[in-house]
Amino acid sequence: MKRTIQHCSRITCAIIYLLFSFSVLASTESDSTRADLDHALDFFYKKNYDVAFDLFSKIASNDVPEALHYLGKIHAKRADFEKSMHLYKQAAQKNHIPAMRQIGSNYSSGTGVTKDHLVAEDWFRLAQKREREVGPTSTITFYNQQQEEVSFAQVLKQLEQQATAGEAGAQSRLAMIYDAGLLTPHSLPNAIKWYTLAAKNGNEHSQYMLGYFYCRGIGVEKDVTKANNWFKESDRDITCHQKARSAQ
Amino acid sequence: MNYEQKLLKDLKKNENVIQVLDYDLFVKEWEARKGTLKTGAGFAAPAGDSIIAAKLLKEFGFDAQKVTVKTYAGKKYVIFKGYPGQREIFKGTRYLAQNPQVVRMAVGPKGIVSSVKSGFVLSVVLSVGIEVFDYVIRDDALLSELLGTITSDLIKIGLSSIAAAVAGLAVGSAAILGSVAAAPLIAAIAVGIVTGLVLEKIDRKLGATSALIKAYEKMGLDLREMKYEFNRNLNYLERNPHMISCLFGPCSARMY
Repeated sequence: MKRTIQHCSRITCAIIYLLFSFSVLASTESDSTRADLDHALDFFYKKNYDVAFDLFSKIASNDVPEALHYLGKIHAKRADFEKSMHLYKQAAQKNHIPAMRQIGSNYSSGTGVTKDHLVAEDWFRLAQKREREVGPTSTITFYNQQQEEVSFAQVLKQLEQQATAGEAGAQSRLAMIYDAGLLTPHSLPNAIKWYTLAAKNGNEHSQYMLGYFYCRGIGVEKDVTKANNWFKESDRDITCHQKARSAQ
Repeated sequence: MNYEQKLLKDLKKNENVIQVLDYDLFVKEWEARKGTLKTGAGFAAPAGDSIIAAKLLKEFGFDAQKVTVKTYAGKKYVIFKGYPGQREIFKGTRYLAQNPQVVRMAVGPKGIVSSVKSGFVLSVVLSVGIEVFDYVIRDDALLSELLGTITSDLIKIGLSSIAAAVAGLAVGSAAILGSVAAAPLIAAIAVGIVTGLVLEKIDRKLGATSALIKAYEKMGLDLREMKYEFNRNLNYLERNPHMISCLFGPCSARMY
């Protein structure tokens, strides 16, 4: 019996050892990829793009989205926008948030693609959705004007008081908080409620957002006329068409 | 000079100021003032937006190190950075905001031990709605163009977390961000309004640096004791090498 227990414990030990070895190996691999990325990033931010390109290419061969994203950036620096967009899209398909934002940015400025603010916003919102899924990458502690620590519930309450009092800036920030869903649960109805109030109080960004929501039919029924009215109010040269193209 | 002042001095050595203006209003401001400006090179020349903006800024007498024009949410913005040590704010007299908002961020290493030299300060002066900050801070291409290597530190803190914190901040309040991942960084953010033409007194007003000190205190680190603690721990490990394994997890080594 004692021998059996000893035998079993040896097997258990072996299993634990193997599992431990695998976990160490796995973590070492991801750690080494991170270290390789950091090394490559160092060259990239020091603008040594040739070295960075070689390093990112090696990492990208293992299908690492961050490496694909930076290879896209280097191609953009070399004015090869078609190749860079292709790499951004590859990285975006692997849920890489900065690549989604970069694609949005390219549609905003018309870099390598036909300029389209609505498609740009689609990509920004895809990135935002992914950010929500991942959650905040930092812990956030708030302090009031007296430098005392306050909970986010207190911050939110104060913001809601200002927004209810009719401050367009507070209404717009509140809408953005509910829309982003990083500090509060994501709530499109709340976002639209505060965007609408801020828009009526002349907040240009909120007017633009409402134009986008009406054009795409997000959280509201699609209404091209309303969309274009809000875009006009927001002083943007954007037109919503019945069959506007989207990021999908 | 006390330890807080020393921290501020060290951080200021690596200070970056980014300013954001509405492109159309900037051009309107130039048109309204061109009679009073030295030259009148015009902005209708067949050049890119960024080149035009850089030219106009120069005509206003503002020496910017890097100038770019970006489009966010269908609107164009002039975004620029001054030379190192330049703390002057570009302000309009007619069309641009008289008292722009500023988001000031002090970033330091989380496990601050012997020096704060790896820290930096970033001020984003917004002559536009604070909503634009959301686009600016998430634009890593813009950040890398203007800020170079420190962009990777901002990315490690989390661009979306920085944007989220700022959305919750009222003028005069502050937030502390500690990176969740392995990144050994901590950031303090404050929002305020620039009333003068220089950023000289902005730190005392906004308290981003004092918020950073508060963050260190919250982590149980005292600026006066950091170097001492670090050296003492190293000496202890030198004397007791069998304890080194304890740094990486539970251990059975006995203290002698």
